[in-house]
Amino acid sequence: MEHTSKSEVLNQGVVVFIFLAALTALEFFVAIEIGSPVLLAMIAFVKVGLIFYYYMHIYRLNLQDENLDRHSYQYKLGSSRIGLWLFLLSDSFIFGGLFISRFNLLGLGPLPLASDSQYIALTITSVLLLSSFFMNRAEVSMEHGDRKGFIIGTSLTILLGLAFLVGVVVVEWPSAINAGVTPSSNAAGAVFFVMTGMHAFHVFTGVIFLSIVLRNGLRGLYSPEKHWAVESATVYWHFVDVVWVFFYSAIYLIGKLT
Amino acid sequence: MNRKLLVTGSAILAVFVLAAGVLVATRKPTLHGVVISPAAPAADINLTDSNGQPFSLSSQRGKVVLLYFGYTSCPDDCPATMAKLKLTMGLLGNLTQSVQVLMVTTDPIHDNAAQMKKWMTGFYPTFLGLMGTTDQLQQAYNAYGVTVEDDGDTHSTYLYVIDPKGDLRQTFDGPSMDPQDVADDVQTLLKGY
Repeated sequence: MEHTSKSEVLNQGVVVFIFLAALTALEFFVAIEIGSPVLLAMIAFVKVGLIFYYYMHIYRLNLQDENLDRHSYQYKLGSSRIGLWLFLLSDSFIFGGLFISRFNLLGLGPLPLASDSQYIALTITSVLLLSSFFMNRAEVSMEHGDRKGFIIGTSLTILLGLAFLVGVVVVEWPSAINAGVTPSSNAAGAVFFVMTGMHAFHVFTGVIFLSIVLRNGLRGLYSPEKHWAVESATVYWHFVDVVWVFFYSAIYLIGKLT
Repeated sequence: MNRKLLVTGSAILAVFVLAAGVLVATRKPTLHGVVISPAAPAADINLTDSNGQPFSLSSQRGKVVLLYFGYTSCPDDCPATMAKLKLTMGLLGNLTQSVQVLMVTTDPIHDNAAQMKKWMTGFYPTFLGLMGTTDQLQQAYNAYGVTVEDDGDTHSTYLYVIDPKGDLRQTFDGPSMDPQDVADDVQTLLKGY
């Protein structure tokens, strides 16, 4: 646990969110006006770096202390963190495969989506980014014993996660199908539906995970010292956001201009 | 801790914004058709239009001219091209006044002024048909490398794009072109690129 005041950590979350939002806006501009895949990739990596460090606090993996009592909560927490990150790594291979297949099948060209897709995508991307912001606040609140803040943050995250799912499944998919992009129409259709579908499924499982955490939080099962479920749900949620940073770029931004 | 994040983050953001700014400032508009490079002055055409008035291509300076060769009883490529140009006009909003679509007849035996006017304005009110004597027409065909055979039934299907300065800039294959590409290029050319 960091030895910093709650307000300082919360402010840090705000600053990170502002940078992420600014980079997303810049990304959109670059895609529409310049179309440079290199610049888009660089921006995506910086966004992911910010999320990894400040929202997923990957540096906590370093806190594993081999001198601790093997039965202590702190020692088990360190092992759990390694386990969680190994799971995320293995999950990345699935997403990585889908990501590569997009470039293998379609090169750097655009997906033939409806023209309003661009704005739907920007909206749902913002929604997901905002959900990460609130999830960060929920976790920080729990770390500092603010149960109310945790409950509000988690609830907002779940609502925004559901809004994202509605955006993908109820708005974006029918819009794509209207434009003639179906899962079986061609390689672009298959890529589009399997990428957004696999990601939406992860958002869905994240919502379930968070709902359980919220329920247990309401029952008072977590404390500032012991809340691994909250931390793991948070890290998982941010991971789903990280995947979307790359997927958003790969599906909607790269090739937009050409 | 937050100060370091603010400073580093702002610096990285500034570098990206600067890079984007430089790229925007130095980008060149691209044309979507088969670009003629370097652009050459479009050969003048002196014919009679479908309103019965004498017409010369050089009088169209200041407009983007979309020039096509075809005939009104054409069953396939000509109406397909004109329909695409109609869609192009629909995409151009109030820029349509700065665009002139022309079709030089390849079938002077059957295409008279009334017939051409009816056919061309049927697609869009400002579309203009051009006619002339066989010699005058042959001169126009030669100037643009247009092949006309079988009394006009068989002809080249290129759309010639002439910029406001009167230079021939690019060609499209009329029946297969994308109206959005044509509209984008018209806008690019009207900006003086």
